[in-house]
Amino acid sequence: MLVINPITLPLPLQNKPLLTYALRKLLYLPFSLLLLSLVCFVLFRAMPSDPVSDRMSIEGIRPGVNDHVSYERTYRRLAARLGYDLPPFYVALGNAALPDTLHRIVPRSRRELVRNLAFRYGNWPRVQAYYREVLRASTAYQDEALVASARRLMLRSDPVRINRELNRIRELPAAAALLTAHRQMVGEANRSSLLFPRLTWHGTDNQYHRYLTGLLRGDLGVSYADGRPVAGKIAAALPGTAMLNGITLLLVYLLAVPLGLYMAYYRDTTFDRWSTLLTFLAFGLPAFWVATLLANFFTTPAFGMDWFPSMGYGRVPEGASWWTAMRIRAAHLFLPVVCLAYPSFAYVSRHLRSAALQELDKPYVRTAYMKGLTGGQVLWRHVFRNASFPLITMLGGLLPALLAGSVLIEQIFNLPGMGDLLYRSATARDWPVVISLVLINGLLTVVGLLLADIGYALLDPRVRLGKLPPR
Amino acid sequence: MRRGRWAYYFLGWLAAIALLADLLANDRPIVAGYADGVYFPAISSNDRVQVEAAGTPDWAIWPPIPFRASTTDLSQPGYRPPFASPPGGEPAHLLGTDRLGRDTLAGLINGTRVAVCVGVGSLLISLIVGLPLGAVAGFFGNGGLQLRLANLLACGLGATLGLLYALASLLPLVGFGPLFCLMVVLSVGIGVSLCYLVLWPLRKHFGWWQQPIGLPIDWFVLLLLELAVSIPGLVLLIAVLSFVDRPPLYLLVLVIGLLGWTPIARFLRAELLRIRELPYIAAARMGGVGELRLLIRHALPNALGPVAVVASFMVGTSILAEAMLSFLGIGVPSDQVTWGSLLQQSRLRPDAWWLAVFPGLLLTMTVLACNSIRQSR
Repeated sequence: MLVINPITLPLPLQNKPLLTYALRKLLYLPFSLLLLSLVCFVLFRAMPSDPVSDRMSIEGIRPGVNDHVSYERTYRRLAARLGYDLPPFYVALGNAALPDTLHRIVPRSRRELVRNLAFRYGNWPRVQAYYREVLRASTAYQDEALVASARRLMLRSDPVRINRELNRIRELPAAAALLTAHRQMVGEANRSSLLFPRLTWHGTDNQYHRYLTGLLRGDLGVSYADGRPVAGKIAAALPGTAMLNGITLLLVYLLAVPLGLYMAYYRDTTFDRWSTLLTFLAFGLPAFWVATLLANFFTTPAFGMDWFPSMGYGRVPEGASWWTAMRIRAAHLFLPVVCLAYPSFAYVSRHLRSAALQELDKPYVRTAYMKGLTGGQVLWRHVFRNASFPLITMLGGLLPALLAGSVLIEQIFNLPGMGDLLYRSATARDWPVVISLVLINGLLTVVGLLLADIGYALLDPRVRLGKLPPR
Repeated sequence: MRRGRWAYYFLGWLAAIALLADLLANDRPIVAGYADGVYFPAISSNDRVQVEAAGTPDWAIWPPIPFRASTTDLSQPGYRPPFASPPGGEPAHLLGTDRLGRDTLAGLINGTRVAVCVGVGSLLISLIVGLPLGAVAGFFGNGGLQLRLANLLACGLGATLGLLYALASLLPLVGFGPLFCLMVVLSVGIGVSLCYLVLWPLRKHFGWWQQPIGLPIDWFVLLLLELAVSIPGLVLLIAVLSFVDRPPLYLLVLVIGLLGWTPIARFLRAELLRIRELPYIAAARMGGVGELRLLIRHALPNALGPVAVVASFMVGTSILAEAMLSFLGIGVPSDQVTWGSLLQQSRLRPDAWWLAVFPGLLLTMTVLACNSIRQSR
């Protein structure tokens, strides 16, 4: 589904020489990429699952469920290996009630518990002592009631519920230390320490830094679904999507350019009026609806029109002739390509028509006619050259849009590819893959827009000379 | 203008259906008369409980479609085709049912409500973000608002420090709420005044601190636009919404709205860049009209025409995005029947053509209507 917003095309170029212009654009690039990586990292941190225990299940580490101590030990070792016990970012903003080492508590629920307790009582040493006692009590195996209570306490920061839980174990001799620690924490509460803010500098040994350097090395992480590297999964999904979108793009430009030019050339004729209406309708018809209809009617036997295969890119048998391979591929790709292509086709041809209409009114066109050129020569040699510059700008925006658009088309026609991978990972909560795809899509967008901007300035000398602010 | 007129009628009709959805398709009567009085169970949930307790009413006025989108009609399950006569004296499902016997027409009406909510809501959010940014950037440009360097420094530094302090200390202290908002205002105010006091002695010594400089607002907004364009829209939408376990509808509206502010800001900026050079602005300025009043009362009303066109286009895009997402089953609560979820159901059963054709037609009409408002100017 091509959602190109005609309005989200690159900003108007400024009247600057090409080099300055390109450099200015290049300066934005690291900024955008850094911002993108930051967004992805925040998404990564915000996800609801516990990364360490997810990783444990991938790597097949299964400590005994009842053996709490060995589970804790394995958990902590894995967390340290993966760097989850590092501070999240270069700097941290907090207040005096919080220690600057809170990040060492890796499981999120416990970190939240300690944070909430620290905010409530404001006295870090006492909160820490209480937390240690809870931890110790949760592994006191000789007393099952105490262990059960301590494990519940590990999830509770609400004072009413803590008191209720503590009342239950008040009589137990083993709980004395825990009760004392709680009494001291409540008794020596000092919330005024919250008023003193504190800025901590953690240095480069932090999670974001590791994530960023990993990205720069091409390490996108490991999929939660099957433990394979994300980069490998994406590389496996890429060829299908690239083929689909490559054919689509080629088709769009091959067909839309002549249509757009001739619509402008024969303006206000019946041909122009009908094409304008049809492209308007095509631009508004949601492609995923058309795709659903086509898939329902022509790839299933429901209406007796099972003409096209319903999934995959088709398997070409070994040693098949070129013609057979073409036929198999064409049968699989025909409907998806049509659905991907027609909205951008409509968009490009309409855009080209209006650009060519403006050019046709200019004096150089009259001059060209007076030289004795035929209509076709004027149209293709002169008008097309000048009207086609926006097409380059559009190409930059089309690439990422097509990739995002193939999410639905690949889904509807059951084609394995990047869009399908995104959908399956998103519904299976396979965050590393989802976030990597967001990152790659953002990268494509930024690079596409940059190339389009520079290409535009490169091809239109007026922009380079700074004489004319192009549209 | 003539060509676009049907679009206004169509969009108005959609809005009316969305407003009256509960009265058009409901499995409870609009008005139910009992011996002890008249109740309105379709509108008031209080009346609904009482009517359910009281049993069959003496007389009742039923909605034209006596089903709700989510009620399953157990007597007619399993993909009833449209216009099929029901067994016995049951009310007919005009446009058929899905697998569970949920009425398609009622689903379409509920879907209309969701679509209008998403379209209007996300447009409002885009306007809230995009209008001020675009207006200020376009009208004042890089040099239109001037401030002494010392004042600028005091304001910027003080506001940043105040905000950071509020986040670090006051948020954990009082929790999020109206009190916190008040505290933020207070701490920003205190931060700015403190910075003034600290910088006060310095400004006597450095003359250049007193020089007024133009605020680079336009540059800043352009930078924001540039950065926002590099965010991949649909992909990010899928990613963000799949993070949340049961995303409420307003989250979808919020995310679509926040992704859609750029066109509005950009068009308004371009329009105001043109308008601020017009003679009547210069005349008003010479007449002694203040800059802010000039922007709001004189320049902005003239710039809103083109922005309205973009806005209507944005509504179409948002509704389309919502349909795509609910088609994928991401982002819209699973108990809500929408156009997209109806379309999705047709994929399970290809020969149930009514589940594919009707919602798609409505969606297409809506998108075309929004686009043709853009065309007709």
